[in-house]
Amino acid sequence: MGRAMGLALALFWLAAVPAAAKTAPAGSAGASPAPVQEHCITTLSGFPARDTGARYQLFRLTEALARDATPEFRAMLAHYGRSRVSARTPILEVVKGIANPVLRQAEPALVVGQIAYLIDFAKACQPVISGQIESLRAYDPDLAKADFNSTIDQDALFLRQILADALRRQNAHLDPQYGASVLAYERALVRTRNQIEYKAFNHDVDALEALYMTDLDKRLAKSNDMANAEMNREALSTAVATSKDMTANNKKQEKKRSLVTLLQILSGF
Amino acid sequence: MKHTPCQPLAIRLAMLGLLLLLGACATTATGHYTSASALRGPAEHLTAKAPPGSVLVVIRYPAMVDPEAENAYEQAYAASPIGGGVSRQYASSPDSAAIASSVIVKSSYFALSLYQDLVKRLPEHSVLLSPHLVKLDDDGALTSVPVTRAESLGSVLTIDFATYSFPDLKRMMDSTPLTFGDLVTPLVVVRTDYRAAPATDGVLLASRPLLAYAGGQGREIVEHSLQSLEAGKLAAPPPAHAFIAYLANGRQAALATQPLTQRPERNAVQIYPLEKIRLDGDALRALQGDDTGTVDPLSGAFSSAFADRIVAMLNRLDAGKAVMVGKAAAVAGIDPTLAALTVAGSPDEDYQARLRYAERLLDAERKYLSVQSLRIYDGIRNGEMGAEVRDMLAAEEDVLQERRSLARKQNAAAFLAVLGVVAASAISSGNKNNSYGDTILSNAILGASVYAGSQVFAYKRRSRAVGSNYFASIIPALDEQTAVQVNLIDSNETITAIRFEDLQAKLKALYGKNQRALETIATRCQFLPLGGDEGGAKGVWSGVCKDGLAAGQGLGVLRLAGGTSREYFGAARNGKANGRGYAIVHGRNGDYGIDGYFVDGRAEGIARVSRPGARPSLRRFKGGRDIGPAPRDARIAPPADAGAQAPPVAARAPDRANAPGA
Repeated sequence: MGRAMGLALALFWLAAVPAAAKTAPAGSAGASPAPVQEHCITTLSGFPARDTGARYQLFRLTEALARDATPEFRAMLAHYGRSRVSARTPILEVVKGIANPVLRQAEPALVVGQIAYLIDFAKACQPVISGQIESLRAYDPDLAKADFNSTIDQDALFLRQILADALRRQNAHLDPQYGASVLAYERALVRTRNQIEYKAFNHDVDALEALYMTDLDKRLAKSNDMANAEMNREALSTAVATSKDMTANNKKQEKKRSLVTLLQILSGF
Repeated sequence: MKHTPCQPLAIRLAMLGLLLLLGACATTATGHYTSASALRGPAEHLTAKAPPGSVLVVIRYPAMVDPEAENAYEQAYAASPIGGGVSRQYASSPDSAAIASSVIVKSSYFALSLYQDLVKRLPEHSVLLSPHLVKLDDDGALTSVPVTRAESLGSVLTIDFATYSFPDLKRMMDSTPLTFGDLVTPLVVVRTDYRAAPATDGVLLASRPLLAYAGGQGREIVEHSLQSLEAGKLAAPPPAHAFIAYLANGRQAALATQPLTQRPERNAVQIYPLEKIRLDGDALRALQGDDTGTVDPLSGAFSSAFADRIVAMLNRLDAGKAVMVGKAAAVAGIDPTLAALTVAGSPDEDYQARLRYAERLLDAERKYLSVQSLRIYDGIRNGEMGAEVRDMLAAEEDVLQERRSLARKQNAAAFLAVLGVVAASAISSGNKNNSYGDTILSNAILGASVYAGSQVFAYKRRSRAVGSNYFASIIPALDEQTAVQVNLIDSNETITAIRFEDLQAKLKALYGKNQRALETIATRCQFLPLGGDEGGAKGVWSGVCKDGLAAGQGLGVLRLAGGTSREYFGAARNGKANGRGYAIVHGRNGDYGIDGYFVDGRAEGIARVSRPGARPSLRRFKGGRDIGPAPRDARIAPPADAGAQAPPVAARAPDRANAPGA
């Protein structure tokens, strides 16, 4: 990522982001907008530049990581986290660091710190991230595909689960001050997990449903045609004609009968 | 011709004949142009929503007769006439059998008119058709069963629909009910699950002749449901079609009633009067060139207005209560450990997640069954079969018009005959010394009168022959029509069932793959009496249990010593109703519901009470006792909140007899 990219992002930031949104990350309260912009621009320079897929993936991942992170929770992360990350660290390195199994076991505070860094970045630079996600989707519509986004959500869930585990390792859930926010985060994590899983399940059911409904509709239409082909409408026409003939005969007979009656009446007088 | 003493005798005989002729006057089977159901109320937009995994309406109609039940059906049809009596010898006549067959064909055809009008008003995939097979049960009694699985899902309303014709052909032109040509006599019973309308055992509207039988079926549904719940099963067998229950002379029971109304305020069954609807003449004429089924002459005369009435009913029903057990029964097919929990629900995240999966599966089934209904509609309405029914209606219309014309001629002849007799008697009695000319004139008028009289009977014979010839000729066509319909529905169901099983297996596999262990599951245990002091009461709980007692969400059934029983849906603790719940008291003087809060089995706070014949009302309860009406603008509330809502004045005397725990 060269300086040109950083400049372009800076221009984007100034043009697209409302002033009110240019707030400082957690832990830097009172900071002026300028350092926030700088922070966002510097961090964004650590995102992959050429591979739009990877770039989109990381923006979405960062955005999803910050879900359910309340101010209390972020304060707790600041308390339990230990960070070696600087704004110059490439974002991919940060993510890899979080997912590193050895680090997760040995240095839970470091993991917490790394994720807290990403969450802070996501919260502070939310408008930029959203703008980047929209632009990338507009540039490459394939990025909006449900499968791809579902995978990203699952990756984010995995990272959030790592964070919850890291906090448990440090007994943060037993902390009288922060325990409640840890438990609330864990519950939110279960809800998100359920939502993600349900989305995938729903997607599968949608596919099955469409397949079976279309198939059934075709088969039933064919079966209807076969059943209706057995119908002989002429049988009804014949029946109606027969009925009319019989009625005409009755009419004739009644006329004859009437004539006889008339003659009987006339001859009687 | 000379004046003879026989002349006054002839006049007397003619006068006698006059009386007979007056009796020979014919009616022309006119019918009404607009159905009574259209007379009241504007159309409403649907505000009700089908709870996930359930449908709004299922239309049930007799569509086929099992060959083994044909004789029983035809005999029962002739022996149970609506609108008059039929001689015993007529009961076995071919005419009656043909009319019984035509009723099946017409019911199937016209049920689709109602389906079409409901589909237009309700959301996609929320109306299902349930054709019924008329058959003999294990005891040899006439009954009917659904051919498809349309009734396997929870439904807010079910409509039993049939058309009816009086079985005696000779009385076709009288005022007896008729479905022939441009005349249609619909028979309907509209039901919901009795938990949504406990005061009427779920019956909301019924044609007058079917009312008592619908009441009897309502009682049976309650009893079967209680037995099933006690046995740990949520699904109870669907009842027979109401018209078949009537033909089978099934159980009868009285229900509180009220006339048709768009906004019923009382817990009473609306009575739909028996009516002979005359179809729109233009639509009927348009039928003759219609091979696509786009013309629906019943819609303007009945179905459209009736569908509006159904929408109004849906808007006023508690859809959640209407489907809670039906839906739970459907969920039991997917996940038995979850099923009983769904009747009262739970805020637990794992329960909510699992329920969402189950509901999605039921929705897939619902959509699948809806495709089946649409294809039944399409196959019958838009195919050759529908075209033949329309041809049949057109032919019947010709027959009816001819008979109407003959009836008018018959009436004109009767009038002339009567006029002649009157004139002749006036001439002969006006002057004691009749002139020869008067005598000739009197005799000529009398002769003409006798001839006109003979024509009255000739027209009557011809009119009957027209009807009789038609039915005698049409029998093979009716048989063919019935056979093709059976074939169509049978193959439709076979195809649907095979694919449905396949789909269900795949859906269940998907479901199983995605489920985590449920922390709280539904099992069976003991449910203690609501009031706690009912000797001999035995209760069964399906839901969350602890130490062998009800402890959490679920449903309970109690049998009391006096033969009465209770149902409870909601939260329980220590084996008793505790928390938000809904109790139904099946008493000796009718059933009623209490929707509110319970403490140790007793209603407490402000609860909604639904009693037969009365308006649903909010009442205050203390220790299970009804202590009076709740203040205006009150809402269902637990004891603590109810205290805040209590009126400042002393409530009326406690009504212990009404208490659920009494």
